[in-house]
Amino acid sequence: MTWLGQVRHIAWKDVRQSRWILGIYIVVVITATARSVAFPFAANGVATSVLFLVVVIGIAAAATIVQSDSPVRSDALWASRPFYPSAMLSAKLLLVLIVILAVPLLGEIAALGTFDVSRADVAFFASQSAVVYALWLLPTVVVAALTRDFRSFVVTLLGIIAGLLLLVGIALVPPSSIAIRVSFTRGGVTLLGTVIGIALLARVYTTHVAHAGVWAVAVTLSASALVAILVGAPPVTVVPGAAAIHAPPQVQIQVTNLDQIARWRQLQVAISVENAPDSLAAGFSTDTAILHLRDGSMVRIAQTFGATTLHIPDLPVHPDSRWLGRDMKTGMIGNFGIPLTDRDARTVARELLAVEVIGSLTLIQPRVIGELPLRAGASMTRDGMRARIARVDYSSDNPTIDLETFSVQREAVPRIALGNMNGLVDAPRFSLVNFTRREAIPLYNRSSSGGGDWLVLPGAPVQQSGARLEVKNGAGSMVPEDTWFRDAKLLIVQWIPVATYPVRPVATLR
Amino acid sequence: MAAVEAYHVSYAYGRVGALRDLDLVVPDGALYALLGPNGSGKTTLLQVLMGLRRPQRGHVSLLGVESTALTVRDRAAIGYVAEGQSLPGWMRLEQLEAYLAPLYPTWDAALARNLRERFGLEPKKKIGTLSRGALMKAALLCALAPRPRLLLMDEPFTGMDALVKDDLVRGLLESAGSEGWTVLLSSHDIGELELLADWVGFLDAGEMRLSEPMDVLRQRFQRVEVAMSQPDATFEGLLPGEWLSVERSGARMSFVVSNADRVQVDREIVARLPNATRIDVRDATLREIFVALARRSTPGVRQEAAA
Repeated sequence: MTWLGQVRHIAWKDVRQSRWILGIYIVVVITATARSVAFPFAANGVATSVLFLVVVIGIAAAATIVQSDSPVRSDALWASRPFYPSAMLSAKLLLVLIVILAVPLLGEIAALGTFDVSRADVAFFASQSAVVYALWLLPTVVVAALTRDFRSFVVTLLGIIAGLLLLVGIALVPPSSIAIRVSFTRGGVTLLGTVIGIALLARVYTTHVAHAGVWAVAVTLSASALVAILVGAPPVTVVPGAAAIHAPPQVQIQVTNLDQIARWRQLQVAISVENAPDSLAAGFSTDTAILHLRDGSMVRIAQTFGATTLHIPDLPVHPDSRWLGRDMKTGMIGNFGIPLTDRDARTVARELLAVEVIGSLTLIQPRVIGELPLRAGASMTRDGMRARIARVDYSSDNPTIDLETFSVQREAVPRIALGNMNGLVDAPRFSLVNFTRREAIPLYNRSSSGGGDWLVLPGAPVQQSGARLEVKNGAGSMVPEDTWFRDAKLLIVQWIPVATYPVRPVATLR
Repeated sequence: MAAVEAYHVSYAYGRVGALRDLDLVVPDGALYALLGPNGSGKTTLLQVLMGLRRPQRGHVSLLGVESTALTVRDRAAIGYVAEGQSLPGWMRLEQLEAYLAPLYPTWDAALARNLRERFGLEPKKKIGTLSRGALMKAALLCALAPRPRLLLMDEPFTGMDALVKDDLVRGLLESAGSEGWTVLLSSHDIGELELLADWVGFLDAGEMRLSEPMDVLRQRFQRVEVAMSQPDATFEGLLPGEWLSVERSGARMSFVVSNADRVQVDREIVARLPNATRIDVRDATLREIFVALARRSTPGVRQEAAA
C-alpha cells in the first residue's frame, strides 16, 4: 500500500471510528452557523453555550482522532503493523484540519456573508478565527498524542491551562504587560508553533518515546499557544495616512498647573487644535514627553499617557436639517496629565523651561450606516452590522428605543489613539431624524448590555449588544410630541478614521 | 543469519533497570520460548525488539535489519501480538481483517478464514464484545494471517481454554514447521511451551540467565529423587548449592541439578543422606527447570524450599 493510500485508509478508518463525536460536532457547528445567520439576536447565554460547545466538542473530537492510534502506547495496534508513521500522523492532521477546523470555518464564512462586509474583511475575519482555533487545536493534538488515554489528555490540558492562569495570577504579571510582550507574536506563535508541533509529533510517531524533554517542549508549546489566545488579537494598526484634503492641523499645548507641579506630581497640559474641520472628531494620544530644564538637561518620560478626546462633532443628518435643543459648536480642546516621580516633580517645579510632547493626532469622521423606520421589528444589515429595533415607546414623557445590534467591525484605528474617546469607534452613535420636518434629535445610550461574541468560531471580534436609547438628556431636554416620532427614522452612525498625524508640540515657559 | 539478534541491550524505566546488558540470538526457523518470572523484563524485551521502545544501550536487529530502521516492507514480514493487545473495539472482526489486509502483500485470506473457524470467532461480532480469550485469538489471527517470517508473541495463551490452547500450539507447530517461520514467544504456560519450543531462554531481573536448544537444556538439567529409610533432618542447611529446587516430603526428597556428573551426585547423596535407600534420576521437565532457576534467583526462597 502506498503512502498516500495509507493516509486515505487511516483517515477513512478514523472517520468511521469517530463518527458519533464527529456527527455531534457537525450538528453543533450547523446549529451555531444557523444561529449566527438566522437568529443573531438569540439569547446571549444560549448562543454562547452553543458556540462554547463547538470548541469543546471540536477539541474532544480532535483528541479522539489522535488517540485512536496512540503514538506512545506500546500496545497500540498500528505501532507494530506496517504503517508509515508519517502517513499515520498526516492522516490525523488532515482529518483535524478538514473536519475539525475547515467545517466550522465554512460556517464562519457563511455567517460573515450575512453581515454585508467586503470579501477582504470576510477573509480577514475568517483568518483571525482560523488562527485562534488553530491555537486551541495545536496543544490539543500535541497533548493528545503524548497522553495514553482521554482522561489523561483532559487532566493534562486542564493542568496546563490552570498552571498558566496560576502563573499569571501568582506572579502578578499584569495581563496588559503580557499583551505587550506577545501581542505582536500571535501570528508568529501560530506559525512557529505549528512547525515545532509537527516536528515534535513526527518524532514521537517515529520513536514512540515521550520522555521529559518531549514533554517540556509540548508544555511550552501548549502554554505559548494558550497565552497567544488569552492576550487576544493585537490591535489592527491600520493607521490612515495624512489625508491630502486636510492641511496638517496645528497643535498647541500649555502647562496649566505650574504652581502645583510638586504637589500634584504631574504636569497638567491643555491641548488645542486649529485648522481641523468641526465635522470631524479628534483624539490626541501621547507617546513621550520631554521636559527641558533650565540647566540644559532633559527629563524624558517615555510612556503612553493615554488619549485625549479633543472634539466630538455633531452627527451628520440630512442636509438642511436642524438639531432640536442641541448646540455642538465647541472648539478642539482637551487636557492630559504627564505623571512625574517625587524627585522629578520637585526638580521640574523649580527648573522647567519647556515641555515637548511627542504624539499623534487622529481625526475621525462620522458616517451614516443606515436608517431604520421607527417601529419594533425593523432591521437592517450594513457594513458588518445587523441592527434590529426590539421595542419603541414614544408615548411616555421620555421616549425610548430598544435596539439590538450584532456587528463585526474591523478596528481601523490603533486602540491607543482612541483609548479615552468613550468607545467612539467601537460603538455606533444614534439619532432620530424626521425628514419631513427636517429636524433631528440626538439619542443617549442610557443602558446597554451584551459584549464580545462569536459567530461560529472564536477569533473574529463580534459584538452583540442591546441598547436603550433615550431622547431625554437632563431636565431641559426637548421632547417632541408623538406625531413627530411617527415620521421619524433611527439614524445609525459609524466613526471612520480619516487621518493620523505625528505631532510634536512644544510649550515654552516664560 | 539469525532472525533476532540483540547485543548488550539495556533499558530502564527511569532509574529502574528492566534489561541489563542483555544478549539474545534467535536462530532462523526456531521456536523460541522466552521464560521468566513476572517483572523479569520479557514484555519490555519484546517491545524493544519490535522497536516500540528504544534501548538506552545496545543493538537489536530483526531479520537482519536494525529494529529502529525497520521499513514498512520489513514490518510486513513480522507478526507481533502484545500482551493484552489493544484492538479497535468498535470494529467487527471482518472489518479489522479488511483494515489490516491491504497493508500486507502476503495476507492470506484463506488462512484468516481457517483460523477464524478454528478459533470459533464470529466475523460479524464486534471486537469490543469479545472475551479476553477471544480477543487474544483475534490478535493471533491478525498476526498469523499475513504469514510472517518472524512472529513475536507476548503471553499469547492468556485467557485461552486448554482445548484452544492445544489447537493453537498444534497450529503454530504445523505452520512454523511447514512455512519456516521463526517464532519467539514469552509465556508463563510452561507446559505448552514444552511441546512447542525447540529453543529456550530464561530471563531474570533483566538478565538472560540461559539461552539454549531445548534438547541440550533437558540433558543438562536432571531431576533427582531420593527415597530414605526414615526422615532425616540432620542435613538441614548442609545441602550443596548445586542442588536446586529442593523438596522434601517425609522420607522422600527431590531436587534438580544442572551439568551433573552422575557419579558425583551419588557420592554427594550418600555422604549427606546416609539413610538413602534409592536414587532415581531423569531429565527435568521445563517446568522443573523454570521453577528451579526462578527459586535460585529469588533470595530467601532456597531456605524455604529446603525446609
